[in-house]
Amino acid sequence: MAWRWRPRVRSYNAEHFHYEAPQRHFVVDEPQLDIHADRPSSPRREVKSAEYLVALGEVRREIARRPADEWETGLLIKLYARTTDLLKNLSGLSARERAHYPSHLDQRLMERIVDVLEAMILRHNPGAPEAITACLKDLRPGTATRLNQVADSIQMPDGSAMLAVWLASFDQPYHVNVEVRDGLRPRGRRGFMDVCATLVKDILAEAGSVANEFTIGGHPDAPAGK
Amino acid sequence: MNDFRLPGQGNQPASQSLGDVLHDIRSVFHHRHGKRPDVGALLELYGSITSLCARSQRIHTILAARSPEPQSSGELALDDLRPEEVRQFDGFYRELLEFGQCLTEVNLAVIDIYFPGLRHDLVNTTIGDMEFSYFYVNFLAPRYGIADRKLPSALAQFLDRYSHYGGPGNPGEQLMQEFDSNAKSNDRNASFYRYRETPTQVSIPAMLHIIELLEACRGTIRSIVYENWDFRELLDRGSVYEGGIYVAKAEYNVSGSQVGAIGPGAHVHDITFNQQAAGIDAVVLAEQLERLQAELAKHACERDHYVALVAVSDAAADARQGKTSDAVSKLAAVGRWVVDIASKIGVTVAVEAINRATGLG
Repeated sequence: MAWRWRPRVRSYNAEHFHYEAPQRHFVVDEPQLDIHADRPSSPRREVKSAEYLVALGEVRREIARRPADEWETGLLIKLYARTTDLLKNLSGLSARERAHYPSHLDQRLMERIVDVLEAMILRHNPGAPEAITACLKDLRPGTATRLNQVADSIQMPDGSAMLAVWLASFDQPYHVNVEVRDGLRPRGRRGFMDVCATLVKDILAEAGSVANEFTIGGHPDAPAGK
Repeated sequence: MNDFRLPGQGNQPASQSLGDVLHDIRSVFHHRHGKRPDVGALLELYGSITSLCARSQRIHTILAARSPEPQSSGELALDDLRPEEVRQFDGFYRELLEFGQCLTEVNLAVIDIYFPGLRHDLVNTTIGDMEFSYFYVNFLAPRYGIADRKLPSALAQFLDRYSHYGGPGNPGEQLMQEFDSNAKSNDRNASFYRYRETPTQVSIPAMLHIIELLEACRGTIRSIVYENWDFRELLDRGSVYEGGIYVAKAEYNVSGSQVGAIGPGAHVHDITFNQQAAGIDAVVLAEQLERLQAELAKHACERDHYVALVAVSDAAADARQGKTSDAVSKLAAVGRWVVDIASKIGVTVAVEAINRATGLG
């Protein structure tokens, strides 16, 4: 969705910052050692890969409160496709092969998760993505402060992890890759994908009548009224 | 790089070739049924067209509202629209571009079936920044025997991305170019789409035609998906992966807990576990579970850890709403790992709730 449009650090004087979930604020990286680097200048990242799963749990609750519409259904199907594909590929591999499985594919899963989170945030804050993007048009020093002003105005009734993961996707520079973030071991990676896939299936299966129409609708075994 | 033209074949507009491409995809998936080639890419395409059509319906509403007879009106400048309407166009453009990306993924899967190895060579040629036209004519076409034959639509559409240097990179961008009023004007050079700009003035008839086309595509893609995927695991969810999310193990050791029903197929109605949550303050429990959740997120690295983490998050949400009993019952899915960390950080009320739910204490 909005992913490819996210601004990226380009200039030498761009500010490097990241979102710290406990403080609920963007924080400038200290020290900003190498401003030209395309890897995070600070090794500390407060949003862990596990937070993505908590965020999906929050999506499940949000969807239970208000069923998905057609646009959201499409996003959920895309996420389902990505998890299904990844899990299928990982299942056929040995632990050693799994360790060397291309990690950019994990990244695409994470992007899909963030797309769904953005849809949930849009439900309660229709102008939030635009406001954030407007702040990021210029990455001069002070960007984190401007972002915090916008972030403070974003309210979610139940979704602190959702908000944290989504806001952290605007980190500059940004690395969504779970291996880069947490150094997931092969065993942990499989477990992560497994739980992620189960959550996504839960969400899609309970996403309401519109989602059912596009998934199990017409299936001979679909329960009446589903 | 020079502009590339497929030898002996005209480059069709994307709106005309889309039907043929989907026909190719359907045919390939049909003949490979059972092996399910890249069904993930196909499902992703389905999700993409679903979102795109939802957006296009909103655009259709805007266009219809601007003119009682939209077919007769000429063009629409986005500057004349309200901010929320512009936002809808922006969303539509993004979905359209993503649809193009997803279709390219499926096209590549189809190309790999028609000509094993060609997909790999095409991708390598693209990322290798070679002179594509020269490489195609002198190496790829002879190697795969495609120099003098009519190409499958999926391959022709993929190759069309090389026809204009800096031009549309995928079918979504090509469709966008078809309704962009300024696409052919002098002030819009070929690099326009390269820098991810989007149309600011659209031809209403062309856009309505594209919207209609996308609706038809959705029907076709939906049929292809249903021919290859039945979403059965959504019906059977919870049985594919042992225990699902809420139940960590398929064995039941009940000690110090209240149980209304247990085991596969067991049912119970209209009971409340008030006693289990008695004496636990919901506000304190919510606050402590949130602290516990933050700590667990730092250490989780295995499947059971992730399951427990999600269960604690669900329990915290219930506690925030004052549903203490529900919160405690959600904690039945957590194990010793959570209790150890909870004890370590001193969240005593949370430990008490977990002990009551699991009987671990």
